[in-house]
Formats: sequence, C-alpha cells, structure tokens
Amino acid sequence: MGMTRRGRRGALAKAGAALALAAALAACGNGQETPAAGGAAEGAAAVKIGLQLKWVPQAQFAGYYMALEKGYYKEEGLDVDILPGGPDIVPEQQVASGAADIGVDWVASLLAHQEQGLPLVEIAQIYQKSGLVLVSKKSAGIAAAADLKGRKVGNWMGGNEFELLALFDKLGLDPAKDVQFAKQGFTMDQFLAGELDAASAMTYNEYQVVLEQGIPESELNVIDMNEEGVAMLEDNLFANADWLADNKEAAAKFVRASIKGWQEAIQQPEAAVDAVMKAAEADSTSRDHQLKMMQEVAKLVAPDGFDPAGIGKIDEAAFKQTADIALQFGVISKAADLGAAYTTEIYDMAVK
Amino acid sequence: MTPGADIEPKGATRSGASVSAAAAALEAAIPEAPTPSRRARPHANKLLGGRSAASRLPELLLPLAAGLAVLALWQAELFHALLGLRTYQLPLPSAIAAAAAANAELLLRSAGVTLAEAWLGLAAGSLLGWLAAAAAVLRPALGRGALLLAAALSAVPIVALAPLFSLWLGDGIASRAGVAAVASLAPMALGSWRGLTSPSSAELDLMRSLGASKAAEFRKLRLPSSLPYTLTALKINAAASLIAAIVSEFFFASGGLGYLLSNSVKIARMPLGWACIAVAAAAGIASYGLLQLAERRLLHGQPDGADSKQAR
Repeated sequence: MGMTRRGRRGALAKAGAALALAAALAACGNGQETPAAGGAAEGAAAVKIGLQLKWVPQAQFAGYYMALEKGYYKEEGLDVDILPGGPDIVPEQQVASGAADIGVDWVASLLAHQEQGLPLVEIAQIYQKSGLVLVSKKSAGIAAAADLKGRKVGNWMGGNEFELLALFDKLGLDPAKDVQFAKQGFTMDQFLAGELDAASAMTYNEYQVVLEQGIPESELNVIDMNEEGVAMLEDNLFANADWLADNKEAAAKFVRASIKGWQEAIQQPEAAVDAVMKAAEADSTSRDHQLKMMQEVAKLVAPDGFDPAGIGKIDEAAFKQTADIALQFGVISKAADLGAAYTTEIYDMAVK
Repeated sequence: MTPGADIEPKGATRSGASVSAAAAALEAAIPEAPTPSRRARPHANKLLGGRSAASRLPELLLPLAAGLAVLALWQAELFHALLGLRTYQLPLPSAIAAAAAANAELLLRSAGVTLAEAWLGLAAGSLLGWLAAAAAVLRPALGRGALLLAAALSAVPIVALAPLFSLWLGDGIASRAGVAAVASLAPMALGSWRGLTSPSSAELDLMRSLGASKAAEFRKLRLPSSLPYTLTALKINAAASLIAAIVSEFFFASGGLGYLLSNSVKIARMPLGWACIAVAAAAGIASYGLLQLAERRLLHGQPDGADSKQAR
C-alpha cells in the first residue's frame, strides 16, 4: 500500500518535472535571464514537503509562514507547500493518505488516529501549553467547572472536544445527559447571542474575538484546561511514518527551519503577522486580530520561563501526561505506545 | 373485472338506459386509461408477496446469500487488497459490529433524532405539497403557481438549504425538519397533481354529465385515482427526507446520525461512522417498509374499497 502510494507520487513527480521543464523552456523562449538549466537543476534538488495546517492561515501558524517568507525552508533546500486547513480537513487523514507529508494538529487527535492504525508519528511539539478555555458571561453564573452541570456547553467538535470530554469525565458529568454538549460554529455569534452558556475559546483567537466585541474581561468567567488538570498538548508536527522512514534528513531540515521561523515570529510579531496576512484570505480577518493572536500564541509556544532555544522540543513527561489523560478519559481505549507515538530523533537531528 | 366497469352501475341506476349505453360505449373507449389503483394491483401483488411466505423464500434466499458473501469477502479483506485500502480506511464488518454494539445507546438516540427530523419534515412537506397539488386542480389559476414553485424548490440542492435553515430556525431539530420538508414538497406536489389529474376526460365527462359537483368529482373520482400516486410520492419522500435530515446534520447539528457519522470520521472512529451508515440504511428501509405496509392496507387490504366508495 505504501508502495502504491509512493509509486503514484513518483509518477506525479515525473509529470511535475516534465511540466517544470516545459515551463523552463517557455521561460527561456521569453528571454528571461535565469538560465534554464540552472533553474531546472535547482528545482530538482529541492525536496518538496507538503505541510497540512489544522486551520486556515492565521498567526496560530506564524512560525511556518515566517520560515517561508524569510526563505528558511529554501535555505535548507526544501520546497515547502503550506496547505490551509478547514472545518472538513483532518490533518492526520491528509498526512496518512499522502496528500501532505507533515501535519499540524493537537496531540489528543493524533493519539486517537494513531490508535486506529494510521501511520503517523510526532516529530516536534510546537505548543507547550493548552490554549483551550471555556468562556461564559458572569451573568450565566458558571464560576467553577462544576457549575457546568445542566448547562449548554459548546465546542467545535471534530477532534477539538477531547479536553472538554476529559473535563466532563473528571466532574462525573455524562456529556449525553448531564450537560447539553452542543456543536459550536466557527464564529462566536452563538455565544454573543446567548445561545450557549459556555463556549469553547482559544486564548489566542475566540477569546480575543469576545473581547473585541466589547465584552470586558471583568464580565467573563474563564475555565482554563491547564488549571483543571485536563489540559492536553495541542499543536504538534507529525509526519507520515512511511514517508519519514525515507526522509529523515528532509524532516529534520523542515523542523530546523520551522523552529527558526517560530523563534523569529515571537521576536518580531509585526513581521510575522505581515507574513501571515499575505496568506490569509482577504477580508477574513484583521491585522489587529492577528497581532493579538501572535502575542497569545507566543505564550503557548514559549511560556514564561521557557527557553526559546527549546522551541519544538518534545517534553516526554508532558507527552506522557497527555497520553495518560487521553486514556483515563476515554479519548483512546488502550494505552498509547509512546515509543511509536513520537520520536525525538528528528528534533535532535534538527538542533544538533 | 374490466377496468371502468364499476362506473356502469351508477350510470344505470341514475340516468336510465341511454346513459347506460353511453357508459358502455365509454367503457369500450377507455380500456387504455384505467385508474391506476386497479392496474397496479396485480403487479404489486407479485412484488410484495400477497402470497404465502413459503413461496417467497427462494426469492429471498438469493439476495440474502449475496449479501452474506459480500460481508464474508469484506471481512476477508478482499476489497482492501483490490482497492489498496487499509482497515482504518475501510473498517472490517466485525469492527463495525463491535462499534455498533459498544455504542448501541448512542446510535439509537442518534437515530431517534434523525428520524424525528425526517418524519416531521416528511409530514409537513408532504402535506404542503399535497395542498399545492389540490389547489392546482381546484383553482388552477392559483395552484399552478404553487406547483411551479414546488418544482423550482426541488431543484435547490440540500447543501445550499441546510446552512440557511440552521440560521433561520436555530440549532434545534426544526432546522433539519425544515430542510426535509422542502425535500418532500416537490415529489408530493407533482406526484399528487399527476394522480389528481389522472382520470381521463371521458371519466370526467361522465361525472359532469351525471351532474356531479366539482367537490364530488374531486372526492369520488380524483382522490381515489390519486391515491397510488400520493403513496408513491410518500415512499419517495421517506428516503428523500431521511437523506435531507442526515445531510443537514453534517453542516450544523449536535446530534443525529449525520452528526455522529461526520464527527466519528473526523476523530478517527471509522467503525462507529460505518455503524451510523448501517443504522441510517436500516432506518431508511424501515421508513419505506412502514409506508409500503400502509400502502398495501390502503390500496389492497380492502379490495372493494375503491369500488364501494364510488357505488355508494
């Protein structure tokens, strides 16, 4: 099966090379300065890597856009294609099917897919902390997690619900009976209109949307997954295991350039947002919102007291904790095989 | 009994020999346009098994054996080998059955939500559709427009309606029922209209020549003639409304088979997703079967029903 896929990809690559050659010839005919031979040689040498994002282009992925913008991937001899995600795109499935080589998604979702036998392995942990909170208006009277009983609680589902399921489980609440666990749209409109008592929010995105809509922090209650002890690691980089076996060097180069991109994005949030805005869908977001997102994302990628030099490192204790929570609260049904779930080899190659 | 013969007694009793002769002439003239209820009966009987279960056994054995063979080959991973699939892409029947057993309560609850949406939509949409058809027959000037509208609605894809309805009707079951209603409207409107206009001009002329009012014509001729068409439309809608409900749940819902299916696939619970497909198929077949049964009771359960109504 892996063979067939690689075979198909090989054919595609050949077709791509033929197209590139044709393009080079055409460019030559147009009298462009670049020598056709040089261009073709460079194109052939660059390793193509498809990166599947978890969501649409935004500062959540600033490090990758920064690395692309600054040419860090190119310097490593990589031709990286950043593939935007969306509500119906599951990065794990895209990477397992070979539509992308490396993906970004939350660790809980990765564990669930690994348990089903998808050939995936984590190679770097970009976010060191969970950014998921449950936000409610003070008027809803949800001062503590236990107050969620009987209330309407929203989440986007599709793999984003695991930390909340763990929270419900910890509180002894059956999500089918004791709470109204409802699907939340990708705007905060339901929350703002009062259709949800408590809504899921990422500290770097939806929570900022609520603030931007004029509801001050003093009027909000926030339940933080980190404080509730059900936080699981989120954005990580994982690769197709079959692909990785033959491309460790390229993967390490990718991780190295990405880490550089993240370090720079945190140091230069304005420049990072510029890079993101180029990729973001026109009119879908504002520069101010992305700048706020960048600042909040920085707190998760390199939390207080975390050495930015260690960005991307897989904290094995933290990974095990996520796997334990996932098992304890039914995200996975048997203990994760930690030896196969992630590898530190690629990160070590990247930073050596 | 020859088609149309039931008209004769009425003509004979009411208007004497001359009309009786006319009716006889009519009878000769319209053998090609019998009311469908009577024409459909023999075929339906053959298909539905008006006969004993024992005589139907061989007819059932073959599809059953074929189904079991497919399941066995599936379990033996033949399709995986042929199509280059892995079990996480196409779960094995055993895994699907295990997921169904482990999540029986969840599946039942989800099926309940989806069926409630589908049946609510089916009832509302079919009623509206039938009213449009009746209006088109009784007041063509008004009704034709309604019929045209219904036909136009049927061309709007469900995927376009689902987000709109959840915007209008919120995230409760009403929004999915609304989409199911729209999906049910056109087949019923057009089907019933066809049924209500199925009596031939000869049959209608006869009613008129006998001094029947428009209401009587509708009740005694058009309505019975339309019944098979209406029931066929209902059966079409049983499937259409279920599809509409499930597809709508893909877009915005917190429960139901469509929601569970799409979310299971996203969180790598493929066997549960396939269990949803199996339950949805069963629900569709059950809905269809229920209407099939109703049809048999209505059309064939009382063989003299249609005739006695007219003779009364």
